[in-house]
Amino acid sequence: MTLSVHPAVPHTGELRLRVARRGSRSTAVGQFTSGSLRVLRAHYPDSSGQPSFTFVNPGGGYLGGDSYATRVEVEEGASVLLTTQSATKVYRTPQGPVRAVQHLHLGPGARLESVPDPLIAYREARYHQDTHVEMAPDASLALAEIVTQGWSPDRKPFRFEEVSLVTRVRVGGRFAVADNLLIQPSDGGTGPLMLGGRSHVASLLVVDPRADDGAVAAVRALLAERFESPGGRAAAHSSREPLVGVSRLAVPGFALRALADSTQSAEAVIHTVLNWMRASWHGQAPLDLRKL
Amino acid sequence: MSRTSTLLQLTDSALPTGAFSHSFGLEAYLESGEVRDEATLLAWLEGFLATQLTHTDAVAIRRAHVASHAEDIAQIEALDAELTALLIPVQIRAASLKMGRRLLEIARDAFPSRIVEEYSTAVAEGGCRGHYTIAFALAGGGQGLDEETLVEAYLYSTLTSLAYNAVRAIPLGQLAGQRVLATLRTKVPAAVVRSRAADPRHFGAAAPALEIHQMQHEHQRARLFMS
Repeated sequence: MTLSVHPAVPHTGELRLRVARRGSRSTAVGQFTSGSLRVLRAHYPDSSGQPSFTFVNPGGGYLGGDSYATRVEVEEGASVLLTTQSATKVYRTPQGPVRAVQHLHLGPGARLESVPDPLIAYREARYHQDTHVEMAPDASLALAEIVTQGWSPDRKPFRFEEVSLVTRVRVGGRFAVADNLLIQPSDGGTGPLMLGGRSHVASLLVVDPRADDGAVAAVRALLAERFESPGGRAAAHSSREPLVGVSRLAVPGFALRALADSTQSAEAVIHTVLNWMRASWHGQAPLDLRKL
Repeated sequence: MSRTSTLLQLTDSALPTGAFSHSFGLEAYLESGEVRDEATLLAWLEGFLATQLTHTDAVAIRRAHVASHAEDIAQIEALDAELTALLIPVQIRAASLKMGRRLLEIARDAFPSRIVEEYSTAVAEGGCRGHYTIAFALAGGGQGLDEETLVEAYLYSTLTSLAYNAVRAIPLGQLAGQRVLATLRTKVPAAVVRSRAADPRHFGAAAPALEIHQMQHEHQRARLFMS
């Protein structure tokens, strides 16, 4: 496994966070930030003892050649919710792609939910994100992503060069899931099989021992009830409900993909599933991502 | 031994791999009406060629061919695990394994080589799962077919099976099917070239709308195809 950033070059922003369980709550036991990455003080949105950490990029946007490194360790039995303060905006990158590398470690029984704001790529932007997850077989992972286009002066849709999100998950030391999302608009990358005429791509990757066939069927039924009009799929297309698919992974877990016309619509799909898992598996209140 | 004859047998649409029972998501587009005639079928197959076939299958054929040439079973095992991890929709993963294991069985009798035998053993012992692209590359590579020929043959023969399946399912006239294939034949060489220069980080990149349809096929009511 190689990092895409040369170690001798300092990162534009670096963030390390270690979360452990202390009594009935999880708490940060180690924290380090440098450059243009900050983390706001944890808050506890509900009574579950799960802290919510908000990552902040005070610079406001990502530029060419920027590199970001994040490492989050969730120790045995601890739980954490990661989010961002605002959308990640990637501007023109003539100096080379923005590179973001995330390492996530989940110990036995640990739980991590990552629910960032959308990634917005503007004209001539290139963004490469690599997420490496190392988790115990009984740990619980939920990684959400929403990608969309930024406004461009000529008002034509999708003027960015490339957004590439690669997630690799190892479960109990064994390579288990590779999730590769690539959008290259100039290279036929917004055709009907790619985005189906929609502006927002949403993805949710769940790896969890509870995510069996029954859980997938329940998630599917819930999504059909919320996001399909009574006439079925054909009618859903015309009324522009989001287009949603869910499938079982080779390990306990599932992948969800959605194509939507707005951030609200994409978030509604993701939050519906996250909230179902919270209620069914953890007896936890729905997501509360109020920005601080 | 004639390589042309080997190639013709390997890519014969009547080779009993079970390809006729898989649509790789096309059937969900038939159900929604997005694919309904010659023009929409051609557009879908061109899209499939430009996405899944170029980003995943063609690159897997190349990697498997390189490993088979070096008789490097460890590299093949790594590719087998990678494919299991990156074929996300369950029916696509299952199709790759079902057709892969069947082709391996055929290859042991009809395209025997040391590397085919080694991969079969690894699958039987559980070290590998048995993916179709790997089985195809080893069956052909073991008989001396070169990488470019194998990639082109794989892409064209996969499109042929899909076109024949669509002719049955839409249904379309036989001549319409042949016109679609004649146009696709002119598009395959560019896909072969693109897959040769593919950025390694794009291996397995999914096409989101295609993937959603492949996932929705799992719960489609009336189905002719297993994927």
